[in-house]
Amino acid sequence: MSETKESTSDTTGSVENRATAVSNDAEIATNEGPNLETPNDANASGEGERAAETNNSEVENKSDEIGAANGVKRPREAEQNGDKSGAINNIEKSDASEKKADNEEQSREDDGGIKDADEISNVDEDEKATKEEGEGDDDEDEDDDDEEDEDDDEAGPRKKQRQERNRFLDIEAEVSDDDEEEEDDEESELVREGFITRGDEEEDDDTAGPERGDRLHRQLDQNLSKNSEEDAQKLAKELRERYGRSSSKQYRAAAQDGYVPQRFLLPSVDTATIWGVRCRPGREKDIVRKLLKKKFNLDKSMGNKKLKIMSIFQRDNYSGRIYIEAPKQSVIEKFTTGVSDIYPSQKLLIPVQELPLLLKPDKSDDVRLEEGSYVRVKRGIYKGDLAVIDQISENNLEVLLKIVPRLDYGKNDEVDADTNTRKQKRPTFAQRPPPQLFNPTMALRMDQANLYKRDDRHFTYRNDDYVDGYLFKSFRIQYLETKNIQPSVEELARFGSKEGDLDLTTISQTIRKAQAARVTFQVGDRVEILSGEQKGSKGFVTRTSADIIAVNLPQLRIKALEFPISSLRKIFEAGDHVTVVGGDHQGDAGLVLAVKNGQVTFVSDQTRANLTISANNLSKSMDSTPTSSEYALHDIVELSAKNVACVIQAGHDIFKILDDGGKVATITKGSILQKINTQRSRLTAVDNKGSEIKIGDTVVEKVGARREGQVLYIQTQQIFIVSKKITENAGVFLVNPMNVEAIASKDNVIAGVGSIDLSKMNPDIASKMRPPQQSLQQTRVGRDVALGKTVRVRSAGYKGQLGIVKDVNGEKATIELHSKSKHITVDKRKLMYYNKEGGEGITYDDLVNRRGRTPNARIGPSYVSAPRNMTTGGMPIGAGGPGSAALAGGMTPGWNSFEGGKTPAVNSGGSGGASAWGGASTWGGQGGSSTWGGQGSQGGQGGGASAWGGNGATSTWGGASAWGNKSSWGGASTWASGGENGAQSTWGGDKSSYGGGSVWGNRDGGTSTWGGGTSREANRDGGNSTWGNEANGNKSAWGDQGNRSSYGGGSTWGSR
Amino acid sequence: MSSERACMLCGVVLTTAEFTKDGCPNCQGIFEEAGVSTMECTSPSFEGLVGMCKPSKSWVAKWISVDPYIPGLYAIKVDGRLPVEVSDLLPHYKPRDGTQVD
Repeated sequence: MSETKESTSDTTGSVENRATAVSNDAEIATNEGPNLETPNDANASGEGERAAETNNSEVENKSDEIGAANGVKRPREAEQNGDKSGAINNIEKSDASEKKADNEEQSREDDGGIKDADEISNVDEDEKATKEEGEGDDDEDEDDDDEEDEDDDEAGPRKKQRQERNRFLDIEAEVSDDDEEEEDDEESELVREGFITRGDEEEDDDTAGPERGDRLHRQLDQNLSKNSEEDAQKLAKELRERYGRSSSKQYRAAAQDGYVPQRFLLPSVDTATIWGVRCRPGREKDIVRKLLKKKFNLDKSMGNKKLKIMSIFQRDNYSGRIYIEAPKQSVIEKFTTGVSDIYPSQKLLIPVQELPLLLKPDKSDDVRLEEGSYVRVKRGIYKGDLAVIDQISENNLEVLLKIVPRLDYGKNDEVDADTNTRKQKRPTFAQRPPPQLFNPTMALRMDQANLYKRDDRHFTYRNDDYVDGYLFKSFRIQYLETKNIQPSVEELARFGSKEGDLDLTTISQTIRKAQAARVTFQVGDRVEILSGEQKGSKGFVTRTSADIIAVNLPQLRIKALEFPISSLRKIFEAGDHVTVVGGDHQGDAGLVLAVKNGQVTFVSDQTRANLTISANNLSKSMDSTPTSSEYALHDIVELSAKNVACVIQAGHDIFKILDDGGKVATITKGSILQKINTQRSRLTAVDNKGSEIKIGDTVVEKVGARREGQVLYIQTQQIFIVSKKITENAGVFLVNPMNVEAIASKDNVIAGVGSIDLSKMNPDIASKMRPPQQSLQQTRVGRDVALGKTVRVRSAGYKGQLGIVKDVNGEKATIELHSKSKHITVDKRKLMYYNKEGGEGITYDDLVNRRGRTPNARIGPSYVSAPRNMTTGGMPIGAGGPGSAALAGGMTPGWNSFEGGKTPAVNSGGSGGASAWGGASTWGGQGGSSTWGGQGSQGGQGGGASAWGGNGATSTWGGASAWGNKSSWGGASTWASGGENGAQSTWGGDKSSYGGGSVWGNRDGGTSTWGGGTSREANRDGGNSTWGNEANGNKSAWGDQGNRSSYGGGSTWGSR
Repeated sequence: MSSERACMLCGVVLTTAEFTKDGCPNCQGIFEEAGVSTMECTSPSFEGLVGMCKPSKSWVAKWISVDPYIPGLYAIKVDGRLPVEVSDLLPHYKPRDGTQVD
């Protein structure tokens, strides 16, 4: 301490010029001021204040003095101060040991000190004054002045420096004082010493040399800054000259001085006339370019008579329009002539108030990109893929996207066989791999060379970064679709969680919630005002925006008022059809049942359940079609190559389905491969009655609940049926086709209800009955038998023309004629039905009886002729004897009719030709006679003949008594009884007699039956002749008969 | 046309080649003052094409503040943000990407 004091005093002593002394004083003063304060001597501080006050007055006086006289006085004063401070220092020095005295002294010192400090602070001002005034002053104290000036120049800044420094010192001193006085800590003293020493050194530096250096530095700085400014200006000037434009200045002028807020630029009718002109959509930009070019060219060529076109512009939002700023309408026509794709006749003046909107630098539907928002990639192999924004570059032009990678791990690389080097093939959009999270093991196995592992989660593969399996890649924003991104559920699922399991419902709800956050009011909605002055009134929405809705209140008769969304509620009435536009039930629709307190209860069209939903989540709708665009209720969809299902509830992205196993499941849209077009499907199934079921047919269950419905779709084991009477699963159920019965075909609306009785078709059964009645009408189910048949028209108009039945509707058949390309509609009963290859025509009823089969074209002539023969043969005989007609009629016609029974059966299609004659073999079996067997080998007719012979001999005919049972064969029994005894012989005798008519006569005589004919001779003759004729006519048949050895039964015949 | 860019400062639309060769006809001085390349101050993503024939007289020019510039093609909306070096020089700079609404 003593050292420091000494040095201080030394300094003071060594002060050369007064000014420094002054500053020294100041230093000391400030140094010691706090010293005094530290002991917290209230008096002292009070004194200090007072001292300061007095100082002020003093200073004022002084400055006055200085101002009045000259600068000499002040330095003198300073000298005094210096002396004073020197005295103080001395006192301090001498009394260093006595603390109390010291304190008192210090307080006194302080007075002076503060005074000094204030003095000094005023000195500056004084000096300035001095300078100003003193310059023109006498040169008496010029030397002094100079010195002072020099000093004064520096006094200001230096004082500041000092003060700062001293303040620093003060604090230290304060501490050190305490230390010194109370603790005498060596270390602290050392520290303090260090500080003070430094301070001393600097004070030592406060001599002329360093001072000058400081000044130089400052000057240098000033010069430098001046130079740099000059440089910049010069540079700017140079640049301006170089580029020939005063761009930056101009910009600044525009941007700073001329900065006008845009609201002052709002257009008026005078300032802005902008016309909207129609043009070809998609060509707007080209037209703008073209027109600008045209304008420039015109300007060049037209000289002073320039067209007054100010600007031409286009907005992406308004397609098919360009806008031209031109004061006169006529100019536009002149201007746009000869430019293609623009239609200047269709133009209109844009209202002035719409102009700012038109030129807003922001598209209304623009989405601000934020980290975490969803975008879609517009090109490359990730085209159409959903991505999440991870980072946005500083200039807003690039974004780092998190995307599910599509990697093939080099599977499709071309390998050069010679060098065995791989050539990476760039994947194309057409053959891109499916999106899958990055699989490091795959990459390691397939393409190790390109894989770098950063850490457990982070890999670099082929210069792309993969974190947690996602690709992080930078894309330019113009390659991204940012608007109206609606991520599908499964896309979100890929981003959602690493494990892949996630709650679909949660996701769908979040999507829906996001959608619900949007405006749900539409123009025309009826709304009620919930709050504010207009509370309770009702009106119509006339305009909507983000959250302000303009509502027209009819009772107020003023223009629409604007309300915030939160104070509006939609109004619905019972009976309205509504669609849910927000909330968990979004997409549902139904009929409003009741409205209460803003809660609307409606019955859902889909679930038929009552739902109560807040009115603002509803929207009036016309139809009940659920929201999904692609799949609708009751659509048949393909889930995989093997599995199909029926949609029983269609949501936006989530569907409830009934699969072919009968299970109900909720799936996402992505799990549906495609919709199956059931209209085109030609699938058929067979019901339990064997009739065909097609899609659209109505069927009824034969077991269980006997549900009835329409066939939606047919699979081998299952058919999907929808019933309007069932609410469960939207009326869809699955049954086995064998458990249903078709009751109505889509193709044959008129077909009655009922099924085919196959027993009537069975000749085996039919044979046991009398010949089937023609009148027997059968109604058939399913396709009409006539469909697709070749027919010949029997009715007038197109009589005789051939055609194909294309459609049958009730009684009417539509026929496509062979002869000319024409469809005609005729009664289906007025047609003859033919086999494709021709053959015999049959009527519709026959066709029905033959189950739609037309007679075979290849029918043997003998067969055809036989019945004819028999019939014709039979008739005269029957006609021959009215008396015996019964028997003859009974027999021959019986026979005939038997044959006839056969023949019509054939004709009527019952037995269907050959196969029906298969029944004939059973016929033979039925006879039980071996002769019949022989008959078979001989052919129908001949067989009949031999059987004839055998008849007598065999008891089989006895068996034929069975025939007797039948009424129609009643005649036969008589014949049998009569004929068997006598007939044998008679017949036997017939042979010879047959040669001559007498024989017949004999026999006739024998047999009453035969003889029953009154005009026997004539009859016989007639009969003979006829017979003979017949024989002749039937030569082959009869001839055959005669030749037959098997006829042996009637060897007599043979002899004939 | 995909090689076209718009100046983020004045909105002028030129091809990339034109920008690289001559810089922005309106603002090149500022870019050089700020010491940034022209490419940093232009954006390939812009919308609303304006054929400006008479910038001094056009209201459109005033509205989209291109009235002190040369006639030519301008964009109404230019995506992207100017480098800080440039925007620091221009205290009243109003971005053209629609972020700032009056």
